[in-house]
Parts: sequence; structure tokens; C-alpha cells
Amino acid sequence: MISLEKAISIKKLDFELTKGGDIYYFEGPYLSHFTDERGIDYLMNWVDLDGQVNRWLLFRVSGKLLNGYFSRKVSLFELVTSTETGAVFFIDLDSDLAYKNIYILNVHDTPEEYLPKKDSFFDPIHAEKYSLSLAGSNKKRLTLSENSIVEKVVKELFIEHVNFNSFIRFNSIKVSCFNNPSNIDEIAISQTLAIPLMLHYHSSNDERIKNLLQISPSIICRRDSFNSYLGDVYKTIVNPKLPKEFEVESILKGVLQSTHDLVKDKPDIYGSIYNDWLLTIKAEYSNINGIGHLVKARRRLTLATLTKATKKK
Amino acid sequence: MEFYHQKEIEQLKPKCPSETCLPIERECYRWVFDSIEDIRNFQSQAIKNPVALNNKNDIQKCSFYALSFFMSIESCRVRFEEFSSRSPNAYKRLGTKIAKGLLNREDGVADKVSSSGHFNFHHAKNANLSSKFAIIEGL
Repeated sequence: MISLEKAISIKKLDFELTKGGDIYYFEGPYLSHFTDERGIDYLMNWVDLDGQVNRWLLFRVSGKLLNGYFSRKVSLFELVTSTETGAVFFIDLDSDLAYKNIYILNVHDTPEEYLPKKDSFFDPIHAEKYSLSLAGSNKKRLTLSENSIVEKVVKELFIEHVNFNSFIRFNSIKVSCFNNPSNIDEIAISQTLAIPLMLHYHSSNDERIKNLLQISPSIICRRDSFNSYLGDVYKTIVNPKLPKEFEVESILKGVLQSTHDLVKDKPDIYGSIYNDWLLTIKAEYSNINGIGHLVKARRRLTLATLTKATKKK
Repeated sequence: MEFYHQKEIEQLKPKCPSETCLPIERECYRWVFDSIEDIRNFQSQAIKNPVALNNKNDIQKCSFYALSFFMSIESCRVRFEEFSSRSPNAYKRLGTKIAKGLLNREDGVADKVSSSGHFNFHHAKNANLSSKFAIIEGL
């Protein structure tokens, strides 16, 4: 069995998995579905064995992608490689199903022999009955969640862009915290705020902003403190007074506005990184409570400003 | 007929093997490892992975005491490719070669053949399957 050189060994998972059932089974499970205590979906795919253990690849999967898998639009390969956390777990189980080793690894460092092939589309003929009930219940769940704007914002706008590598690099985040999926919303929002905070700090040398950047890795591990952290971000770089209705959306709108104003003043210094950031948070989700429109509008403005600045030079 | 797992299966309900399982005279195929003498080749899942019997109902347990065979070399290969597409190391669990053999009435009883050409076979205590099968090609 190959050694996972780039992986980080961890003592235990920070979430509890409950097995839903097997999707593929032949004299034992090959691909199984699990959920954690928050109802988040995971798939566990068998990848290897030696005399002592079986090795499984565990990865988080969104309801949307799972739906795409069951409707054969998305392959198992794509499910793994586009896992929303950017990281996968490898779990070595002995013959008594006891955890012997657990590793966390950037999904892009996954050895080829542990990845499904690119054409690994769902095969309903050989799949277990459980997969059909899962496909049905998952569709229902997706429909029910369509009304939740916050869920859309978090799942479709931010979570998709959580990038394991860049986040580790920017924030030196502790793996034990990243490892906990209950922190995923905070991680996504915190990463989204990182570039605006950096630009504002570069522009103002305000020690309060530096402090906000420095504490972000620990704050995302403390859900109870995260809202007050968001409030501090808003008060520091947007307005000393918090908006009347304290919501993630209004905080982010304010951050977008103030960052745009900053970039507009100094497009030659901040324009490039700001545009990359805007592209990263994807303007395609334009119907989400106005944020997408704001992003698009700011991008147009910034590009126009930049073009103007370039012509002047 | 005394089955290989007679003691274990006679406690299961409903009856194992089920009434649908019948003696056969059939040429069939099975995944095996590099040598036909490999002890894993004709071991049931209950022996290879006994913990898998935990939390299983009796119907599921019954299938764990059976061996898997295929009706054609094509169905054998197609099913293998399907597992390999999700788990490229599947050969480490399933085997590396295709063996062909003739199952006789005294060797055990076979369940119905699935649409994919697979069937479960409850082998008799005295069936010497490794001597009845020969490797014909690699997977």
C-alpha cells in the first residue's frame, strides 16, 4: 500500500459519521454514503488494502453534486476532485473496522490510483437499492432548501471557492480546526474577507485590521465568537456603526463597497488583486439577494477604471 | 447435500440456501488471483471478512456464505471494469485473472442468475473447486 507522503496524520475525525447505506457492494461495500451530525453528506470509497487494513477515501459532497452523480451528469471522479472542502480523508480500517490511521490531504495531491477514473458515472444497474432511495430523498432535500437564501449564499457562492492550499497559506490555519466541517461556513466567509482585509491593511497600516487578519484562524474555530468578529470587520473597514440588521449579507455588501472605493482610488496598486478576488467569488450567482449584482457592477466599474488608468499611462 | 458452511447457515431464517437455489450443471467463470491454488480464490466472504457479518440480517448473511460466479467471460469482465473504474485497486480484492470451470450437481446449489450474468453459489463441503477451474486469461 502506498504511503501518503503529503498527507497529514490526524488522531480522529472531528465529526461523527453515521452510515446511511451502501451504493456499491460486492462481497462487501465499495462505495458507501454517510452523514455527519449536521446532516452533511459524505461518500466513502474503497481504495486499497494490505494484510492489515483496508484504506478508504472519505470526502464531503454537496447535495447538488450528489444529485448530478445520480442523474449521471457528474462522475465519481468529479465528486471527489471537486469536494467542497478541497481536502479528502484517508481512513485505514482493520478487520474489526477499528480506525488505525486517519490522514487529511489536499484533494489535488491524491495519488492517481486512489482516484476513480474520469468515466466513473453512476451505474444504476449494479448499484444497491439504497442508492435509489438516497437519490430520491436527496432531490427532495434540494427542493426544500431552495427557499433558504443564506444556504444558497453559503453553499453556492462561497463554499465552492474554499481553497485548501490558499487558505492554509494565507491564514496558517490549524488543520484540526479545518478538519471540522462545522466550521465550513466560517472558513468560507473568512477566506472571502481575507483579500479585502489585506488591501485595507496595506492601504492604512491600521493595526486593528492586522489584528483581524491574525485572529481569523482561531475565530473560525469558535462559532460563538464569529459574529462579533464579522461585526469588528465591518466596524473597522466599513462603518464604525453596525447596520441595523446584522446579517452576513449586509456585512459582505459593506465590505464589497468599501473595498471597491479603496481600489477605485488606487487601481494601479490594488486593481489586479481585487479583480482576481471578484472573479474568485464568481458573479454568476447574480440572483442571490443582490450580492451577485453588486459584484458584477463593481467588476464593471473596476475594469472601466483600470482601462482608464492604463490609457492615461 | 452438506454445505461448506453447513453449521452456520442452518441457523439462518429464512432457509439458507433458499428454495430458489438448485443444483446445476454449468460452465461458468470466476475472478481469481494469479495462481489457481491461491487460498482466497474459492473462499466465501464470511471467511475472508467475518466482521462483515455484523449487523446483517439472515438473508444478507446467507449471501456471505456463497461464492460469486458469472455466466460469461464478458459479464465477468464488464463487472470487473465497473469496479475498477471507481476503485483502480479493485483487483486487490476481486482478483487478477478469469478462471473457467464446470460446476456439477454435486458441487452445490446455484441461485438465480441476475440480469448482469452473476449468480451466487453455495458450495458443498466436498467440492474441490480449485481443481475444477483453470485460469484462461488476465483481467
